[in-house]
Amino acid sequence: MPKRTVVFVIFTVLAVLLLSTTAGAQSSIPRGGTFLVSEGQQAAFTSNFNPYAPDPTRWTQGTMYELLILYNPVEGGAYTPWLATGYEWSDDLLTLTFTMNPDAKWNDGTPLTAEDVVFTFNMIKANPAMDRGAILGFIDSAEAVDGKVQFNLSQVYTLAPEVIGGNLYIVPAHAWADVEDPVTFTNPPPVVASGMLTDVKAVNEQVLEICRNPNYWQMGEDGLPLPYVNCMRMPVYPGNDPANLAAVNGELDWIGNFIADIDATFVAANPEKHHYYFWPGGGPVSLYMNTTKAPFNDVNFRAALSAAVDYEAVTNIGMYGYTEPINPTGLGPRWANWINPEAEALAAEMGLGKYNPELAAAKLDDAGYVDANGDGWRDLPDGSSLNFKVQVVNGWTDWVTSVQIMSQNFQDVGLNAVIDVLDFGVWFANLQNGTFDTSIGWGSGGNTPYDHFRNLMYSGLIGADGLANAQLWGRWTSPEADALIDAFTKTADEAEWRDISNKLQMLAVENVVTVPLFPGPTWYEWTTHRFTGFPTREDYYTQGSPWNVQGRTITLTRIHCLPDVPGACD
Amino acid sequence: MRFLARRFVFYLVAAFFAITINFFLPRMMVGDPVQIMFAQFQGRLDPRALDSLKATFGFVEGPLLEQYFTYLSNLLQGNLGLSISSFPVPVGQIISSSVMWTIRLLGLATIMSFSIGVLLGILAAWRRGGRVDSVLLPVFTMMGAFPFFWIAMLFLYVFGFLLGWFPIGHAYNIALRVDWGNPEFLSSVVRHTLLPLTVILITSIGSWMLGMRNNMIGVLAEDYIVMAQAKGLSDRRVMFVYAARNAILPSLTGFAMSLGFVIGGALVVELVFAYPGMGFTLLNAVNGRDYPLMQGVFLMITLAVLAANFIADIVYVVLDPRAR
Repeated sequence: MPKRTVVFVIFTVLAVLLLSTTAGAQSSIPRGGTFLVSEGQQAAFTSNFNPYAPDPTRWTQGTMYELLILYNPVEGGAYTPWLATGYEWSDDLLTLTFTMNPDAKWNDGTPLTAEDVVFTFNMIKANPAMDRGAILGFIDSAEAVDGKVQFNLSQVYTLAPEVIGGNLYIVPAHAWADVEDPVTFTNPPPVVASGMLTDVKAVNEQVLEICRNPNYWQMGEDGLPLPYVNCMRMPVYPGNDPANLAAVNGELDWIGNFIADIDATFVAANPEKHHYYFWPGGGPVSLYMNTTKAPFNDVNFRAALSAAVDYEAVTNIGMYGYTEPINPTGLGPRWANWINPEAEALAAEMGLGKYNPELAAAKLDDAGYVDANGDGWRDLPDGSSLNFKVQVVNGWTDWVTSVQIMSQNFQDVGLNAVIDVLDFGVWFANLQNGTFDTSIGWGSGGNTPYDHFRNLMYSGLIGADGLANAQLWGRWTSPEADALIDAFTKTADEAEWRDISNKLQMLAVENVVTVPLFPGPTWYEWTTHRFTGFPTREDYYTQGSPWNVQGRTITLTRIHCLPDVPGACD
Repeated sequence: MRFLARRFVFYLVAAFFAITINFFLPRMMVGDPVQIMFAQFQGRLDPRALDSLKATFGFVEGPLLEQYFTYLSNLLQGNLGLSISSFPVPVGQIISSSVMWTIRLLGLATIMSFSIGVLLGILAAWRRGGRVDSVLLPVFTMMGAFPFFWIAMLFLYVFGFLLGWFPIGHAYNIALRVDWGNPEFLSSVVRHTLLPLTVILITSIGSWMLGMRNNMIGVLAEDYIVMAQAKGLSDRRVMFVYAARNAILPSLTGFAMSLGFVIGGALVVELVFAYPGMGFTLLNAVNGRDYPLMQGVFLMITLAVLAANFIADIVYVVLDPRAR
């Protein structure tokens, strides 16, 4: 080969190599930048980075202290392996074994092992005040066996993976062993933690700022530790108004707030860069009726109320069109594949969940609720006068409007119903004490509809103090429902779960336990001024709301700055 | 001196009653802190957490009287207890993080508004029908009659959002670290203070001005003013030393009260301008039934109002020989 050809070949190879490496650098993900978050009203931040504190500093959970597995809210029960690569049941369903990810380590470089998980469990066992998931109710002990954690259950409880996966934040044995009282420990920075954001830069009356853990154990697509961003900054906004003004002004990157008339305000300010998606995956917001009181103890009356509500008006006017009427079984889009067609058909036959004032009036007539004393309002079958209140929280404007619509709907069918706007504390105490007629209220989430049914119908939720916990506010219970709910936790077979869920749906519909209104919209807005990679309407890979632990953790593995925007990656 | 000693004892007794009411009044509200903390998550917090939360807050329960005596003895040791909503952060720490911002902004605003208002009131009364009296007075009085939040939002929208002259929230640029030696930080604090300060001033000057003007007019009709003028004293001397010194006494009591209430913060200012302060801390404490925090804030307000009144008494003695 002549010399010139050799030189040419060498140059060509070099040029190709050079081109390919620059091309490679371009396709790698840009790093750096501080993103600004607002996730609702927030008082001055106080420093408490103990993930088991009653209300820890924001972003202590998930992105600082991590979970074994993440149940992605949008994936309907499937989990994303995290500190653990997965779990296994023993045949008798009394031993649950999590396999730890060998790469996992703390920000100080110490490996995160099964011993840390055992330490965390033993700490909770010694301090039941830290048991946020009530795991001590079904776990006896935990032991580390070659890179695995074995939980020994005291009784069969097949929801254990979900409860452990959602509540057990692993803390470092080597840093926490000497903590005298872990219940009141505020874990002042610098913290030893395993998450993506562990470096607390500021926590005061104006701002919370936490920066990346340079030693994070999971790698990005460029082979370097996640996350791609440098820091999270969360300003204090004492109300929604200043936060939303900052959002409209393009100052925020990631938002989890309610914004009224969002298309005309937030989006209109910059249609290309301001986005939102209110995934209707929240718990079912429902009208709760106090079934211990007449006339709400009469299923026909409850059914009439269900037919009297104008669901479209409630969701379009009351909720600004941010959500849609829910399936009459009470299961929203989150559990769409759990809906029992038989229960749906029964609901249709009973006229539930569909606006039909004539049917509502007919139902009331048939059940004997007619105007006996001629005052223009229907009375009780025994002739005594009937009037009731629909209670709602003062200041929750979307709900207040919804309740105004509903009480008008009830008046339209001849029922003397009035709205009762209450201070939050009073409203909630009334629900729990059973001192209300009807009320709007939230519902439960969860990977399976188990929590939804349990919180709605399980008699065990009436506390020793007589208070109705969870959403048992309507106090409709039955031995049949109790037995089904208990049976759910005794099998890990999905077919059996579905069978139980189908039966529970029949009970809920047949007895009109509540009037389900709409799935709770999950507030989530994002801007692409400086960052990208957020879940979008088209690619909603996880729940975008920054206040959702699982959603924000998964999102944080993907977002990165826009290098073409000056300052975005600083 | 006997007068001041008597007043001091009176304030001590008043403080004791206030402290007692501080304890019992919040507990008469419906709802308990654990349930409310739980409810504020609106179903997002696993109901399974309830029992463990109750265990954490075990100290909340127990007979009321017993709690009252514990509260008193803690108070004597300067211990305000642990906050419930931000458990286990001490109440003192939460209060100290926001109280300085409140004192800075509202203290400054109150003193400025009082000084400017009183001065303008003096001038308005001295030249009745003059420009100060016929233009400034009605303008400021009208501004004071507008709902405060409306003016605040209007200013924020026009000067902060549309024109971009001022930042739209917070006490300083949150990208900066708190560092009082850093000139950049200081100028950021000043820039963030201007808008809320202006709004407070233009809405509050009117009442001071009107009060002072009316007092002045009464005093100006007194014989000793005519006497002073007849003696040939300068206008300025008559205006300030003879008339204003006597006319200011009623305004001074109001000023002392306002200074005392500064500690309570200005909720609307804080909500509109996202400014840190005691108003929102107190609102949160009440909404969350955070009894220790509420007690702490009320205690601060009570003590500040009493102290301010006591100082006003002393100033009275200095200004008005009849009070001695």
